[in-house]
Amino acid sequence: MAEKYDVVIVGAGPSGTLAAKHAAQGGCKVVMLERAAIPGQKNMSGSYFFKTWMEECWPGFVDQDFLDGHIKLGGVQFAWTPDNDYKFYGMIVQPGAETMYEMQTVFRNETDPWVAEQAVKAGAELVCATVSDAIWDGDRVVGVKTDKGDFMAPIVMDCSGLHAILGKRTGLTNWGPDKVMLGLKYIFKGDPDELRRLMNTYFDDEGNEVDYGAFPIFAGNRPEFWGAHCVCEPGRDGTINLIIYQCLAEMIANKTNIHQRAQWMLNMPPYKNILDASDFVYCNFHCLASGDLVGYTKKSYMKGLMIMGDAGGFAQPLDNFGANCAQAQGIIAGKLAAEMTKAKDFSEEKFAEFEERWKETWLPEDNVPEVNRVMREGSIDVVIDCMDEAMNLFFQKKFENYSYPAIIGSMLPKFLPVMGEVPVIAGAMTGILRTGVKKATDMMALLASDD
Amino acid sequence: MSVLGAKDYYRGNPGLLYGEKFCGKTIRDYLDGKFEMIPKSEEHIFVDQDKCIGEACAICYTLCPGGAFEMEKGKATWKYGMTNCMECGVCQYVCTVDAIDWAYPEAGTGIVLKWS
Repeated sequence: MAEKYDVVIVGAGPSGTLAAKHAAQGGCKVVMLERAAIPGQKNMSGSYFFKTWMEECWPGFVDQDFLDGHIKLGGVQFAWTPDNDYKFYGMIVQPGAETMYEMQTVFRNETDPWVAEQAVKAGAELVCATVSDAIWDGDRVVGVKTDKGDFMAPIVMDCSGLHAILGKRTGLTNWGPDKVMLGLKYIFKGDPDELRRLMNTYFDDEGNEVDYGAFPIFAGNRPEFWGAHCVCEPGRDGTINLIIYQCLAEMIANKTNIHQRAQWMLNMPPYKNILDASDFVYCNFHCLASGDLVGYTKKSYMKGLMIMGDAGGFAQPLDNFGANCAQAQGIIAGKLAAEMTKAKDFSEEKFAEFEERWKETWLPEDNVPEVNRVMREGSIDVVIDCMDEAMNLFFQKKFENYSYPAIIGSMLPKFLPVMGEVPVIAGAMTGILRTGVKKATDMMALLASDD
Repeated sequence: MSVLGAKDYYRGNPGLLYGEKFCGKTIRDYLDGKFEMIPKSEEHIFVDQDKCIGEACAICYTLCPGGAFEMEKGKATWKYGMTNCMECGVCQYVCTVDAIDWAYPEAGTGIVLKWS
């Protein structure tokens, strides 16, 4: 016999748990259907959540033991490899730990169970089930099929992550290999004191350990499109996360496996020492919604269904932060579901309001077309290639004892191709700044309107 | 696994950058003991042997990060999926002939991500 609810939510991740909490608080009978035995066991993120935002969403977050010992960021390094091999050009950004305060490293298998528990305390149910398909009444979604039976509800939410279990079945989403990135995490355990020495960490007045970005965030040149990062946690048993992500289309074109890029990373000068001295203990894989690849789904609702978070492709174009978008949409969906249930209004117009409401936030602006162009059509490559050629010329001329005016004179023509890209990159930077400011206010406003 | 020298540019030579092929058994051996798998009772990913074009493609075998696929009798199979499938979802997007029937495993089973 089918279980009946007011709201059925596929996935107990960042969007699903918030949708569940707000729907439950609004009086709905809600269930989260999570395929992992314990929430978080099938989840992976880029290692960072935003601390104040998490506290606003889930009061008590900052007091939890699972945050103890995690590193605070005081700065980051970015490195771009023009030849996807040994050359790097980049920058160091060190605004200080106070400015970077919001970046909180987490382990999802620790945070997610606690978050799901809060959603349950708010009145939602959590059931361990794998959803396989939508149940239809004509052209309306009225429930889901799972390996634990059918779950029926007038409101169903696809919060299932990039693979969008219902998005796929309903045709709302249709990703291909050019839109999907695979993420890999090699987990190492190193000696905490050795890690501290190599990272040059310090302890602030409150006893938080601060890292100034000892290990660069790498990104690779066209057509590869890969990224890498290394997150080290001396205070968490010396846990090291070596993170690689790569677009499927390029792996197919080159007939390579993501491990090949990961193996190459093991030898990178900034990482090699610490990884050689550490034990390789675990390996994780998860696909990510890469904001500038996947793009937002054209329509995030239909009769009976709302689709949000990675399932709808809602990740930011530049930094691929997806959790915030997912969470904002979860809150919107949960509150809307409560209104719809009270009013017994499940018309298509009410489902369309989900889309209207998230479009009032920073989300549409975050889909900055200039950023997409910068990342996908190679504007950064042009700049880096020019810089690379100019640098080669600089050293060559210097060793041949040319004067500085002569050196600079010969380098200037190398930068001509950059001129065309400057407006594009400026547009992208402006777009990012503009949306960043709007995002900060919108995220808080979403929760300020609570009863 | 040595760092390549100045002469070995990637562009036009992806094989040089990547060195040895790293898929299938190489991965299974490398990841032995490096993940937890809650035992599954049923298979959940299938390669249609009639549609599969085998070595002419072999993309699922090449890309699978867990080494779950193997090429046998000229076709790809999900031979090691019960022990090595990472549930990453990649294979559903890459099959060139739509031969892969993809699904997650039974709830409460399969891969466990840690420190992720």
